[in-house]
Amino acid sequence: MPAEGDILQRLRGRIAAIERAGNGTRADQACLPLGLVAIDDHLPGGGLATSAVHEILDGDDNNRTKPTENKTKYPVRKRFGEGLNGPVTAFAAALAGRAQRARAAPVIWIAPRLPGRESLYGPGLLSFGLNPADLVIVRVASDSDFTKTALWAMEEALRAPAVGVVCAEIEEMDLTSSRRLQLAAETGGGLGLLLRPVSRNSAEETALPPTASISRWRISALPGAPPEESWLPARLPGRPRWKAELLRVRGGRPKTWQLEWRDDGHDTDTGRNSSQPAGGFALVSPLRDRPVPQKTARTPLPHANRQARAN
Amino acid sequence: MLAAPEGGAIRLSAVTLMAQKAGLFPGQTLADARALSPELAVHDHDPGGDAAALDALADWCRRYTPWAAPSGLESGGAAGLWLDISGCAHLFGGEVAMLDDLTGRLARVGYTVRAGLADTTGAAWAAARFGHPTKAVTIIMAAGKHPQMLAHLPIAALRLPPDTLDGLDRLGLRNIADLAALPRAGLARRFGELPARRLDQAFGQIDEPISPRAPAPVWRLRTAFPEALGREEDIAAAVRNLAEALCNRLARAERGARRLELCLYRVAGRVDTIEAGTSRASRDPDHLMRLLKEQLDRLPEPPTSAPDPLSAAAEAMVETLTLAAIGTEPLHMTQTGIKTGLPNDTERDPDALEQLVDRLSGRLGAQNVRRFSARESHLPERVQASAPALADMPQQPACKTPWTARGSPLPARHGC
Repeated sequence: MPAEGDILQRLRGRIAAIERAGNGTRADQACLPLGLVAIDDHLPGGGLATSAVHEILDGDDNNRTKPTENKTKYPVRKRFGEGLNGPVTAFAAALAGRAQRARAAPVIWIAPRLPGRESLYGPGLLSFGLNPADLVIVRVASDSDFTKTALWAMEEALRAPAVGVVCAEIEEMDLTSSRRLQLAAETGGGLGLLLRPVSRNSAEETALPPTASISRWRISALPGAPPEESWLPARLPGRPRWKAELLRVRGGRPKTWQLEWRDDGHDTDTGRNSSQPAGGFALVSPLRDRPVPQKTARTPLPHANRQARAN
Repeated sequence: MLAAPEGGAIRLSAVTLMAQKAGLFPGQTLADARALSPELAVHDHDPGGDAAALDALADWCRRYTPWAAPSGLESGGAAGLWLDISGCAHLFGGEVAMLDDLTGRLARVGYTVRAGLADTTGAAWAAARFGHPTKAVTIIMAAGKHPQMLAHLPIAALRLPPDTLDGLDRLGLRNIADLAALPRAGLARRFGELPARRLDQAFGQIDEPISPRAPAPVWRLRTAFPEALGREEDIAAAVRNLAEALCNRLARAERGARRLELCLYRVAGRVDTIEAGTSRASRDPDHLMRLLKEQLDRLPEPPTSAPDPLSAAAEAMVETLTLAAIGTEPLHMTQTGIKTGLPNDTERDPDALEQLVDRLSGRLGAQNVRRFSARESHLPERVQASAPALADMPQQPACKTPWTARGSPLPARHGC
């Protein structure tokens, strides 16, 4: 008599197989772990499914945020056509960087063409673990044909077996287009990240047209951690933090995490050795009321420190 | 005015017509020439460049006849071009019309043209250079009459080396007629057999064929259909056949295509031209086909004057296709891997990324498919530059400050 857990496990496997058969997903689905046990355990398969398209929504509502209220370390998108907000870009870069290292395959990033400047910044991506030397930027003119052309480019890129990750900043999406993308991803075996610069609250999220994406995330900025060096003033930015909401995942349940980016492997003086881990996600305990720490005095600034030593 | 160092002095090697009138001549020292006319414009003589320009001109002349060749500088006198127009003149409305067309076109480009037309190579050479003393005219020696006309030309018209010409001149021989009247045996004893041979060549006693420049291989294939094609699938299949044949030819020559040109000749007399480029030389028919198909599908609807849709469709049918590799590069055979066919065969096609980049560049433009390259700079906004997507990249330099991933570094007031 097999244990009850075994039976359930097998039953789950069979149901999952039936569900996959319907949408063409391969049975031997490979997954990209996020390197954070809390999330990987929650996601079916132990990570983000590759050969699949995932959606990441931009959770920062810029239309309602006044510049003075922007307490995050990220610059805020001023109007449409300026690209995504920082948090989503950084989160996608972190995911793409993990996949880039895991598959040793280049990343394609499809973005609207901005007048006079790049939409992405290589050194910034590097600090989130995405090596810009192995990144191909595809700029699409932001005219009326933007969505069509960007979808075409994403589909072509996903279909190519040489590509590890395809990130595309596409706002409008319907079921048919996302279905095509999903099929292309299954052909090529790459990870598709659909970065959607929509900012809606969770009530409006259900109003988004349904898509064939495997999962849908919403990323918004949290106030950054205080700087690690204790002598720096606390108002300076430290590690970036995100609120990552898993709104929908096939075969799993929604959940929300507070994440922090630790780029420990990033040696500022010698440049990164590619064999080193290039940073990773960490959980942040949510803000809540707690006892005030014993040592409440602000750490003195460096010059004060020196004076103290001299005395 | 061209000048080159020669024998310890800088001498003129070519002079313009105006300078000739001022009394300058090739071989004069530059100092003398400057003394005569101080406002001379002198440039360095570049024999290699001259030869290349002459070759290019010979290629251009292939529009009149396939049998075009440069007559090199070594044959004495100024260099020129041979054109064997046997059987070609009627295509241009006769010899006179053809010569008018040729000289007219060259004159418009800025050349001073002297053209000669005769039954034999030697006579044509003489006619072009000695036919008329001053006018840059077209000299035509009518068939059968050229011996009389040749007889009045100076001996220099026989393409003889300068020392032979000097010798003949000292003997008091001025015209070709004087030379032709001499007994051949004595001539050959004193000056070798060349003068007699040149005489025979000029008068057509012996043949003097010209060898055309070997044309560059043309990677162009053409297919014509007995019945015009209307369906897109048929056209695509025909293009595919052409692409395969072209790739086979390229493979035999160990070359790959960098630029392709596909011409669709429609029934209505219109030609649609599609160009596609590859970022690396390729002779993979699948890949080239995808690049062409991408543009083939997006050809704009042709403007038509047909009264109804049916005849408009008939006019848009394709009756001839040509596919040409207008840019090719050497591409040697390499073994890319062994396909085992097993399910876990993870052998990745090394060209897959290039092919993707080509397809994206084909539709979006190569300037929109880029890669970041690192640049040394103290200004954060200048440390990244944009490079072609398949360029070889140096390692990205380390980044010290917590830049954001979105274009601009942090405002200074946050402190770094």
